[in-house]
Amino acid sequence: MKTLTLPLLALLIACAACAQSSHLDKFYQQYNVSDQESPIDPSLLLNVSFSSNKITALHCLIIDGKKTPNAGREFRDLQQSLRADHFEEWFSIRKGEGRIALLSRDGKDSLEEMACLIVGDDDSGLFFHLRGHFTAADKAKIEAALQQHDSQ
Amino acid sequence: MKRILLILTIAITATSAFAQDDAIGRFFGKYIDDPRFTVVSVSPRMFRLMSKINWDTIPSDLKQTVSRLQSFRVLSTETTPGVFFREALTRIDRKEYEELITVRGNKDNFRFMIRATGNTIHELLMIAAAEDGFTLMSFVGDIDLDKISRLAADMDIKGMENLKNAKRK
Repeated sequence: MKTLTLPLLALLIACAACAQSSHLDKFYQQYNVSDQESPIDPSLLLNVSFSSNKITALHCLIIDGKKTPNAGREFRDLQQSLRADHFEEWFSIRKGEGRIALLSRDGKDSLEEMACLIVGDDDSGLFFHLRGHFTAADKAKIEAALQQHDSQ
Repeated sequence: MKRILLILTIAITATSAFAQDDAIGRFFGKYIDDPRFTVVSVSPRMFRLMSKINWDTIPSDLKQTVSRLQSFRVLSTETTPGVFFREALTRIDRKEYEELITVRGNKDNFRFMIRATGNTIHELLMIAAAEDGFTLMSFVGDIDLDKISRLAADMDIKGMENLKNAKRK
């Protein structure tokens, strides 16, 4: 019996670890409560899953800092979630409270995640997060698009 | 015994190399979230990607310069430039960094330092305090001073014009 208990316990712990959602998923979950319960009013929250090979999931969050007093804290929590999930920074630029960052994380089976955070001085901001299979050319296009946005 | 000594020597050498990187890293880390500072950080991963992009409009030598870079960091502020300049200087281990150029005027103070092994420059560090602010900038990688100064000129980074025609002793 003892010989069975140990592998079973190991299996249970492994399953429990796999079942744990990422910090970023937990961050999204707080918006899944009803409007009256949620302290944050995002201007846009988009969660989409795709069956295509290229992109499997897309999350987009826009918060208007003028309408949401806690917007700054939300974006700081979001950054902490990205750090806790071990997203690797590609580049970041910050001036005052305004900042832009592009990050990514390698997953299993060449599944990658890319995240981009753009926050203005008034704490208004845009965050998007893509899960999918990205080639170097795809990443270059995303980076070029962001540079264009930044220069504007 | 000899083996232990060898391992110990390697460990100490490696630790001191990382410790120096940490000194500058800690300076960046200390002010990275400070709203008084403007921070730019480009990671090795970004440079790896940039080296793979097929750039038709960029001169090949410039592309080569970028492909040899590993990281690029800038920290700048308009607040108390002299104070931050002195703080940055105290954090640098003079045994690791070789002073390349010093420019000192009435109101400006520029220091260019390099970290090198033999003829290979691994890091170029600029510490600058001028009337309008303090800037700390670090290029890490396989560095060609002439090409880096051209790259910096294209990026319009103040102070980097002092690097033009710089040669190691």
